[in-house]
Amino acid sequence: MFTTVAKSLNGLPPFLLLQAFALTFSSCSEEKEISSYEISPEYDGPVVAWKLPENWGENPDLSGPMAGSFHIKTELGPSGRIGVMPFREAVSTREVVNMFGRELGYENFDQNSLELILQTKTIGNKSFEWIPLTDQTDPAESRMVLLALLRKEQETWLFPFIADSPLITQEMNNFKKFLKSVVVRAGKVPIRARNPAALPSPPPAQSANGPTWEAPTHWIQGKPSSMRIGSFYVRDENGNELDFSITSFPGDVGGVLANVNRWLSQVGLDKVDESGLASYLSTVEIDGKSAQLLIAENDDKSLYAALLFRDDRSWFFKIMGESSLAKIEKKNFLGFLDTVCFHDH
Amino acid sequence: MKKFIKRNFNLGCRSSVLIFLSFVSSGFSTKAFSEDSTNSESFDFDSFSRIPVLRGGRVKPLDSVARNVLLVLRNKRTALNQDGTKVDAINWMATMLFNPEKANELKSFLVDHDGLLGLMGRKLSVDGKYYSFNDLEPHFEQIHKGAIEAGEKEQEKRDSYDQNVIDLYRSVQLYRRVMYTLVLSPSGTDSEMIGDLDLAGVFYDPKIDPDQTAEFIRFRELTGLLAANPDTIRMGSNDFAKVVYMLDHYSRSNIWSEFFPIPPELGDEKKKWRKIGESLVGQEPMDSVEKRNLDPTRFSAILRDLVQSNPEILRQQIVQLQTNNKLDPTVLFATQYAEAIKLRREVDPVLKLYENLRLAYLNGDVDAFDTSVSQIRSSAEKRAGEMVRKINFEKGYNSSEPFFWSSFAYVVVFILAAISWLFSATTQSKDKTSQAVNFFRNSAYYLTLVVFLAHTFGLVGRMYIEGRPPVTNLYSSALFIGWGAVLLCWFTEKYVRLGIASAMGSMIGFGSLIIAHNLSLDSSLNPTGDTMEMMRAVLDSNFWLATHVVTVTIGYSTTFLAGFLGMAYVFYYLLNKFLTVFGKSSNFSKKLDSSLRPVSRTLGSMIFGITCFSLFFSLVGTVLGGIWADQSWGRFWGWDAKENGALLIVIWNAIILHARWAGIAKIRGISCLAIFGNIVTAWSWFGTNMLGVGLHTYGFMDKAFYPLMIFINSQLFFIASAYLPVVFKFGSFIKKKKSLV
Amino acid sequence: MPDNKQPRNNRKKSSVGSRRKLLPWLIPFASVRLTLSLLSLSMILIFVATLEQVRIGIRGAQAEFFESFYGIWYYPDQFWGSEFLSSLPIPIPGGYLLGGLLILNLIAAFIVRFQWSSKKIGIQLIHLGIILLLIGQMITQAKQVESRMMINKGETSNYIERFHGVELAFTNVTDASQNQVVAIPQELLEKGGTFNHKDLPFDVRVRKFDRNCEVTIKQPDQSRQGLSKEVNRGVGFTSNLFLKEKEEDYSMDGLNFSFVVFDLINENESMGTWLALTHPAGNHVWESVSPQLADFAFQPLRYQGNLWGMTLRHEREYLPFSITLRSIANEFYQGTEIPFNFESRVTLNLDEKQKRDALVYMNTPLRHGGKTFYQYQMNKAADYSVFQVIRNPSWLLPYLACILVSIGLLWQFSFHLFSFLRKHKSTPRLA
Repeated sequence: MFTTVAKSLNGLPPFLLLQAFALTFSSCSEEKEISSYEISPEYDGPVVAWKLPENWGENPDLSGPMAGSFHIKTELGPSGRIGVMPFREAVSTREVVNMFGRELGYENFDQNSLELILQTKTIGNKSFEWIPLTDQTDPAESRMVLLALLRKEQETWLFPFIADSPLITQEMNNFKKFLKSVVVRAGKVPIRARNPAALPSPPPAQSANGPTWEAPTHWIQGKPSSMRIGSFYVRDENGNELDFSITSFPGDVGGVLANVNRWLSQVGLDKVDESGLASYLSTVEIDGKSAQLLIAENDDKSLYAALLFRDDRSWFFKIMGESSLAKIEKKNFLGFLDTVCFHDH
Repeated sequence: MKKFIKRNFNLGCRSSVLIFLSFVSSGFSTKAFSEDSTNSESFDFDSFSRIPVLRGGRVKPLDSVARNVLLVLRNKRTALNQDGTKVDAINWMATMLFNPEKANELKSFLVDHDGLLGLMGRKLSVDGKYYSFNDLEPHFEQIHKGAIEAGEKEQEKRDSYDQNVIDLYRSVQLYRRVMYTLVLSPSGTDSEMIGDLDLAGVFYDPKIDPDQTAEFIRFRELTGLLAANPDTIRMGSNDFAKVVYMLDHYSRSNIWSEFFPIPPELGDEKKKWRKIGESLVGQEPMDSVEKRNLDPTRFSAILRDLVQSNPEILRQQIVQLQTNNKLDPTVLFATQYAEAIKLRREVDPVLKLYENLRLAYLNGDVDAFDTSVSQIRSSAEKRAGEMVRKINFEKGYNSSEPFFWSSFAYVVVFILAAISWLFSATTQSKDKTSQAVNFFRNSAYYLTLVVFLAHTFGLVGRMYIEGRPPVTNLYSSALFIGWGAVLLCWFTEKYVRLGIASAMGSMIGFGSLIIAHNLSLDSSLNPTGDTMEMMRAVLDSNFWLATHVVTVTIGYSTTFLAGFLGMAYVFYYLLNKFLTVFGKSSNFSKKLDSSLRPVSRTLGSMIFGITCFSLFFSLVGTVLGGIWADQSWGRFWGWDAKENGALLIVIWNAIILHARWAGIAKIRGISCLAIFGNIVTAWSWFGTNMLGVGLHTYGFMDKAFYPLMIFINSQLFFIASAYLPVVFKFGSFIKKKKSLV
Repeated sequence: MPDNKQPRNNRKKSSVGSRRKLLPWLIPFASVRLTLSLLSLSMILIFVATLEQVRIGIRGAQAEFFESFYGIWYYPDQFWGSEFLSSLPIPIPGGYLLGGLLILNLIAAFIVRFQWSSKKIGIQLIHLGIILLLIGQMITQAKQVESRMMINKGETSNYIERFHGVELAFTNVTDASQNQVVAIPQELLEKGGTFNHKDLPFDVRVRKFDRNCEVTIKQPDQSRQGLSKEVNRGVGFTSNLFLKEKEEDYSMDGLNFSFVVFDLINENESMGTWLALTHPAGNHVWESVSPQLADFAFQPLRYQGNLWGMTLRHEREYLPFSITLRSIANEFYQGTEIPFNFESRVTLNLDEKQKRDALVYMNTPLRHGGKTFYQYQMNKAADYSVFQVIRNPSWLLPYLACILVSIGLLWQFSFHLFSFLRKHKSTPRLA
């Protein structure tokens, strides 16, 4: 039985066997090619697509909330501005109109005055709110803003057309063609969309037993935030700046050493261990309680800070910035610490 | 006269085995496994050492913790008094836990690096290498600094000083944590703040309070106030500030204690053991550093809401909040605080028991001490149930020290076998003195069996305690390699009673136990001092540990055995050649010469047979490893360093066998190949770990580098010397030719 | 035994003899000396390749030595005598060369050297198993694909990504129900040139591609430099990135930033030059690096009323099924940092109706559709799980080989052991 197999093998020259090996290897490396396939959508950003009229050009840099920005090519160069702005939530028409109206010198619109200028236009299978605004500040100005608002379920798309009114009239057909070609779909992720005007958040309520202080008059009040109870900055004529903050945290926030080392690193000084603390720390009194004063001076940046533990909280009074300026303000900083009062005794 | 000697020998044979048996078994006596009857005059430390605690993820007797910690600190399982007398582990532990001041005087640390001794201004020759905490204390600052500087370097760039200073720093930390396991660490308490918050009255005062639990009860009263009036939970409330301070204090104490002494609370499904701080305030939900990122106003608001709800709902809320806010420190810490304030209302009675124990120890009250120990143990049994089942066995196992006794006995076996060769070589007539030869061979053979049983007990004991197959880490692989080689040697000796297998088996057995001991001292491999550590998830498969790991380790073991037999052959061969040149006339050399052929034939077939075993086990083990890898990593073979090492052993064994089958290598060649197999195996066992790459790396073992190099060079020396006669022959051949010319 | 001794049995002798006569040219290939040399050379190969893993990582050593016909080794600097030896390139025979020759040697031995008798069946089985192992490993190295699947808790994924190897993908997202994807694989990007495809309305001309680069974010006002200097569209233009050439990192956790600079061409006219850059942890990470760079995950291109997204991502394969991650668990032994359990509870969605729950944990993968999903990474805090996904068509071969070898070894060695024991039973004391 075997002999027959072997006989048939006999005729096989050795190189054929080797070739068989070569084949096993070569067949392993597949030729790669461009693949094309369909998937169910997974992109969750906004989809905005359009066909641009031939004499329109795209502005390369999109800024702020714009998803698209174009100009009209005229003999004098690019002119006018057409935009695509998504809003995540259904903003009221009045908010949008007021945003542009204010700049053009309109009084704030109310529901009645708005109805006077609001139209509805259907282009293709889409229905737009249509609001033309003209410049109210100077009758000689022919600047005009045409707002087209497209409402979809959870989202609003604004297409502002800002240009001189003759150009708007001239490009009206192109604008409508453009609106007709537009495909818009807001995604789950607001990539470039922002609400028009965020209300300024109210300053955080002072805690009932928060401290008070008196700052030197030339210190400029900064914004307190959720982190900062007090905030100031100081500038000199060379543009150097110092940042002063009062912060408070429950607990010891990692202890003196950790905080000191964090601060030292902020001004580029080497970390220290417990033994090295003494070279930076001294004791001051804040409102009758002993506190640690850190003096960290480096060539270009310096930092002074007072650490106070009281009521199971850490209080940090910290000033940091340009060394030259910091040295000047050091006295004011120490003076400031004297004025801090917690009003609980 | 001869008769007398013979009888004496026979007597000696039996009695020496007997003496040894009793010697070894004293360690194994039932005493260790059953408890001593209590002695009314001194503390019952035996019972104390059986208190179950959790350390390193495993419930174990306090005895194990004491021994393991000392192994890390002092590389021994005992401490020393000031005068150099030994303090056993459990005694040391009691002093550490209950009488810190006295413990600080005991020599608990090993400092033997010149650099470190220099830093302390000590001399090895004058002051020795063991130091107490008090000896080290003045130098902590420098040690700390040195450790931080060394820690900033990359591992490969650290020198021996760096490694030693890091180890010493870690030892000091470990020492402190052990000390503060039952007594809360005072670190981080700020007396000024305590004064401001009017907390001084809360803290434990030994002058007024009976014990520490008085403080815990006062803390509970404080939390009780908040639980009753959730409105007081706001920034600026003094009551709230007090609780926050104490909560912080207790949470911190968790970091500063080493093991978990409090058995799971009844009804705890997860069966969590607790530290004292955890028993009081629960566990911190994330790293304490994150506390600086929490928003105080929101924190107190969430906490207030949580405390207001009733306990059942609160429990659910906590679970819900913890799953949905994994990255929000404000919410997570609020849940911990809520649990501590509202749900943890009692002081665990075990805390009281431990306090009674401490006071009884300090007052020398033997009865109270023994009563407290038995109360703690019975409450642990009630609460932990199954988890404490193996405690008594482990305690007994610890005191029997099977590997220590075995390594000692292996030396005796080797000496017996060596004596038997001396006798067989120096005697002339066969029948008269062969009895002496037989006596020593037989006693080596029987003693091997006894030691093997002790070794087996050591392995099986570990398997029982861990609930795992014999090989779980590098340490246990050393134990197992020795065990396997000894077993095979004993079998070989059973059929080929030459004393050679006994001698080689005892050499491997002794060597592997020494290696194992040194592995247990390596701080990177065994940072906790417990050689029975928990298994990582990937390795957590008893099936594969039992199949792949065991077979591969047997492969190592048999390859070593073949190599050592090869060494025996080379030794024998060289001795013979040496004597034929220099001592032609002596009886010894004649006898040796006449026995050369049969002995080398036998040795050759032994090496061949064992290499067959090696190939079988290493091949099957490696393939099984591939299958495991396919199961858990998704590829059969990944060219990982350890895998490659195993493959090298397989290929080398295949080379030896094929070389013999093809007749390319004769007995001497085979022996040398087998000796080279030792190098291959040593590389695969340790060398691959030193590379620091791959999935199997257990740690960068730079300490083992020089021993490995010495071993490799010694093996190369053996191989080279096997061919010395050839060189000489060649030399004399040339000389002859010259003289002819 | 496969030795050269002449078998006593005449019938068998004639069997080997007739085979030898039939295939005389195979005899030298079947020599044991060849086996021994090949085995010794493979010892050197494995040892050197293991050492080299320290320098170039496992993947690097694999490519240089095991998946090649020869490799070049430079004597390590740390070793003794490196002053003289380290500059010398030493050629080392590679895995394919030795493996191929060993297979040849074994097959030849099978044909012209082995006796085909029941007594020697153990030897034959062992060697057959070894041949299977070698072939299996070679096929695996050539065919096995390692990918990963990352799923956030509660989410579903239907594609896997290659660990190594990227593709330049264009996705038309205009349609809300079905998206077209056209992807150019790394192999083609490396070749360079202009690519077109019927589903792609424009051509792509690759200017530069590399598997890794060093990325630095420069201030916007600084002058543009580096490999992406000529880019004038997209994120590569709006953000000032400085790309510098860098060797591919072959180590196991090597982070490679592949990049491609390409032109899009519309009727022989370039529409501009773009840059696409891969983040090794996935392009969604760019957003957390800098919001400016978020678009590397999706660079929009509006073309003829369609919105295309462009990205250079790890090569993807979409599956005919999807996996939902329901929950993960990552548990540690109490008081230690030793994990004792990683597990992911998943649901396998075969189609609308057919669903199956599964548990993936250490040593217990999920096998489905020719692919195996292993628990690979997990982040408990961020609630995601990563599976390693392997497609290895030859996974069964090692198992088969293992069985053959074990039977063979058992057969052969128990035979020897018994004869050894039998021989020595009568004479327990030799000396």
